[in-house]
Amino acid sequence: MIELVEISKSFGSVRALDQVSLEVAPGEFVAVLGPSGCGKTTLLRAIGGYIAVDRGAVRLSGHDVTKQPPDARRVGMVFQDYALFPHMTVLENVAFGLKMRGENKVTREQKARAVLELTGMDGTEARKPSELSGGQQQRVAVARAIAHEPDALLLDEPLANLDRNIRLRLRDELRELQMRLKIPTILVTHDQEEALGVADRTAIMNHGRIVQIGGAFDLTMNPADPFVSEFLGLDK
Amino acid sequence: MTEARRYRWLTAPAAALWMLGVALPLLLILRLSVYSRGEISGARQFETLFYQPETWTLDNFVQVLTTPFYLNTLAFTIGLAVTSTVLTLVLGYVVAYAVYRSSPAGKVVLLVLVTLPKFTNILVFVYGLKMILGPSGFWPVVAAEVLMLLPYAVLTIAAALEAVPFSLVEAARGLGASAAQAFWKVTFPLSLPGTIAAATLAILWSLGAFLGPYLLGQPAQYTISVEIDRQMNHDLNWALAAALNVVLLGVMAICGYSLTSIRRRLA
Repeated sequence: MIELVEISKSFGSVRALDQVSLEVAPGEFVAVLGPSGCGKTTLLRAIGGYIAVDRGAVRLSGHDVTKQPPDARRVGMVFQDYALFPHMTVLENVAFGLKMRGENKVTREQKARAVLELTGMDGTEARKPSELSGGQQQRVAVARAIAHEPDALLLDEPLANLDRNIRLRLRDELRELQMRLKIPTILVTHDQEEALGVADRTAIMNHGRIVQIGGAFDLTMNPADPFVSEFLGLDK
Repeated sequence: MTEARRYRWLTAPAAALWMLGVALPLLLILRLSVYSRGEISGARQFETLFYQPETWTLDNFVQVLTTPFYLNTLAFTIGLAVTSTVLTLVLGYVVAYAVYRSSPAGKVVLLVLVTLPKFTNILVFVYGLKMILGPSGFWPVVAAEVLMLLPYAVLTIAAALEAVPFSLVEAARGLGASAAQAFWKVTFPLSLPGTIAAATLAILWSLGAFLGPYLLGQPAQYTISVEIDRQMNHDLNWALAAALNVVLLGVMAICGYSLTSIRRRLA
């Protein structure tokens, strides 16, 4: 369970997050949708612990982690550029989180192999990230993010750099995987089709606030304001 | 491939420059190092250089490799170079890391500060150091060498660090690595090839150390380069100077080759 309680964050005079509250239930998949600069990436980085919020609280599985650094939070994050370690093999990448948490070599390789199988990347253990295609790198990044069984999965535009065909397939695979693992998940995207197509609920952000949150049907039938209907392309 | 071959002639100017500026002088030094000078001294040795019977000898090398004074000087030169290189790398890495983590404006300020000594004439710079560092000796020599090498090391290492996306560090932190672990497991190994490139530059440069030892050192701190200068300009024994030079070149080649192959294996 991910709980955000009225978190705010300003960069100089810009309010990137303005009293944002959000709850993601265990096993729920929430998409955060909005134009660039709306604060959606800041929201994700606040949950991951990469930025300290000015006010409010972040709770993961009931624990208050507001003041904790990223390594003290049990979070799995997939970055837009995947951020795979280029000097490590696929297996070493996926086992990294387990290694940092003190698992012994046999256990962590066993777990890493299992996760790679889950993401359909078994057989690539010994390769370097540079030897993989974009879609394969994305799957390894997902495998790495879930290997240490995190309390939350955070996805920062994980499909943005992929071709349309593979994007749709990976989107569905991601959702299937998330449903199997029952990890509360937040997907940040600027693509409304991606958000509405995959998430249980979609939060629409603008100027650091969540303007409206709901399922695809809710949002399209009852847009809260002109911004939402325009952003979802309902005006046409 | 064929395209590349077709335009190979475009490398001709560079090749000509290399032949004239590097290969030819090197060849002359090699010849001079096995030259038996007899009674001739100074620049006149060049008049009878090639294909003169009875002017070929290995005596110069025998002299260099059997005289304790030259061997000690060589050992000191290597020791000084290794000391300067290690200190340059440690200091250079710290400064380069500060550059890496600075804001864009901070980067500019730091890099200007680091390269500032290079805007001074090198002699003025070393004499200035002499006034600050006081009596001559080993550590003033090392200080001068390190300060001369530092800008190159910082620029090389900073470039290597800048190529490491910070998202990799964030990913490592998110996976449970402390700041120190993220540095040693991710940032450092990825910057290592560039750091070794800086080491190569520093060791080759400092093996040829001349100004620091000459101006800030006692005779005990004289290097092979200082001795080469003495042989050329005081004893007018160019042949021996050339032999000393060839031995130094050999040491440089070994250092350069081993560091480069380590870097290749890492990259």
